[in-house]
Amino acid sequence: MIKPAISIQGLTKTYSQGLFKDKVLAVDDLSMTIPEGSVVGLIGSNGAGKTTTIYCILGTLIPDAGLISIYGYPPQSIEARKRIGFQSEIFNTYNFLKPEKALAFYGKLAGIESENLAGRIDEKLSRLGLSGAKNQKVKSFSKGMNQRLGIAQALLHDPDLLLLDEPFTGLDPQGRREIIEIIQEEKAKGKTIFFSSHILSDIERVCDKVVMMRKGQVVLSGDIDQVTSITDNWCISVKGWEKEKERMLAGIEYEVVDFDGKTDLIIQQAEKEKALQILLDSGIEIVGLHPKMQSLEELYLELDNKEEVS
Amino acid sequence: MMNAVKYIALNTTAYLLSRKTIYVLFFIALFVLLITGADLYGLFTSEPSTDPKAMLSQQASVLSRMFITWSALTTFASIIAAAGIVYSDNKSKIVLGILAKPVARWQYLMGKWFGVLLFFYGFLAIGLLIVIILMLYWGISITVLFVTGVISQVMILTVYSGIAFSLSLFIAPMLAGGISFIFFSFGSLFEQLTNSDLWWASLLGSVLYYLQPAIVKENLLEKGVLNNLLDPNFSLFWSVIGENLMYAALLFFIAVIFFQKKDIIAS
Repeated sequence: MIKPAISIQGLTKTYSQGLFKDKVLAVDDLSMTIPEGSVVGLIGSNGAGKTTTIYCILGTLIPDAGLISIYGYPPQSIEARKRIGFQSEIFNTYNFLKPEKALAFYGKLAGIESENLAGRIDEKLSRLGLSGAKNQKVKSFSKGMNQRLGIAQALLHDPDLLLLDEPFTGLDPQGRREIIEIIQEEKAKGKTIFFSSHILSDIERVCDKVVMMRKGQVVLSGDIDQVTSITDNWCISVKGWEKEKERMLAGIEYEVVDFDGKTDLIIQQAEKEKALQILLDSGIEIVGLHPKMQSLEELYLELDNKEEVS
Repeated sequence: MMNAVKYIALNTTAYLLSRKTIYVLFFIALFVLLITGADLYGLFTSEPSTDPKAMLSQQASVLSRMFITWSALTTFASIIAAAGIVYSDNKSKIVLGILAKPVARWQYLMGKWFGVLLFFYGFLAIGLLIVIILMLYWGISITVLFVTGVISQVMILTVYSGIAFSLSLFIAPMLAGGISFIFFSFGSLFEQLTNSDLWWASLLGSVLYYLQPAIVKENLLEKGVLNNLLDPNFSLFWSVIGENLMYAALLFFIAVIFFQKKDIIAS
């Protein structure tokens, strides 16, 4: 049985706001488990409770109720922190430091032996493409460079669990790709990665599991393969589809998607047989038939719309 | 366990050294020192025939005035720095990166406060060095009483920066600094307020008097230079210094306990 890296039971967190300290519910009775060695993406709109959840796991926010354990330890314990590498949405460090000094500071705090520290710093600076900026002070860094430095300090002590809050913020496509590669490398080493992001295509690319939050609650959770295939539609791929052939399928609800010289006809499960028969009878070339996979983005928007309507 | 405290303290001192305002403060302090030590010129140019006792008295007065002014400026600056140091880490979210490492909250707080102290002890030491050079030049011996006076100045810096630091964890830094500054600047007035005819003023004076750190009323620096205090009550001086350091430690301890359950960043 795979042990959980993070286990959350009934997490509730409220904030006090305004003059009369009105309570605002940020996370509402949230429970989830992040298995060891998995890559889990946390998605949700702004204010859904993603960052609050991450900060509660980190131990910087104190939950009103619920239990969190990291490898069996409470979030504020030194044992838990030794195993966590964290990067906040916008990484900030002391502006007067140069990247080597900044990493040395974080490395010493993480308990890295001084004889190993210089080597590790060099390795991380080079891996994150910051070797050329060694002599620059952090205050002259761009947002993207700061994010890279943030990732470097999170990885420096080789943690078992990477906790990343919007790690792609401020990164250009090249930077994003590098972070994805790093996540994949860490996953290959058996590390656990839990991160929040608005970039759903990236979540889809690297995550094993996804958790979607809305108004402090989990509204969807599961393996990426499972959640993205939750659809009642089928896709019939045909060749030589033309506008005038649309009449053939009169009375059937369908959607046409053209790409790469092929046409995909998206048809509901109930009408699949009928549509197939019509197409076969017409002699049109059918090149494929498969369940319609729903992208994470489509699923996200669909769930978001449903919630708004309800 | 203390390694994290050491790294955070050294980093905090380095951070303060990187602040341009500190250098502005340094030159202001030097300027004020020159004004308070204006009599120095007279002391250097006076006739050798001048009465040695009167000369020593004047030297003692100038030296103590210079060091007390330097110390007051340093304490004032340390109050401002101590009140803002955690706030600035919080505002920039730097604190998240630190507390994500295996660092307990008390280690973080202790490191930040010690870093501020380390920096301002160094600042105080510069003023002390100037005074000691003058003492050696004039052939004045450094007495135990003078050393006690210096230690009492170190204690004042420690206590008031500790008050500002501890309060700033729960209230706005401006307010924390303001309260500490009132205690530091007007502490001796609270005792007078207790004798007021107005009941509320007397009550307020009593509350503030017992809340504030104890005060050494003797000018130990001047008396230490003159070495003319007959039968100095060292046990009293040391107990006041000890009591005040305990006061700062207790306040810090209470602040750490409450800080343990505080949300660091509210999103």
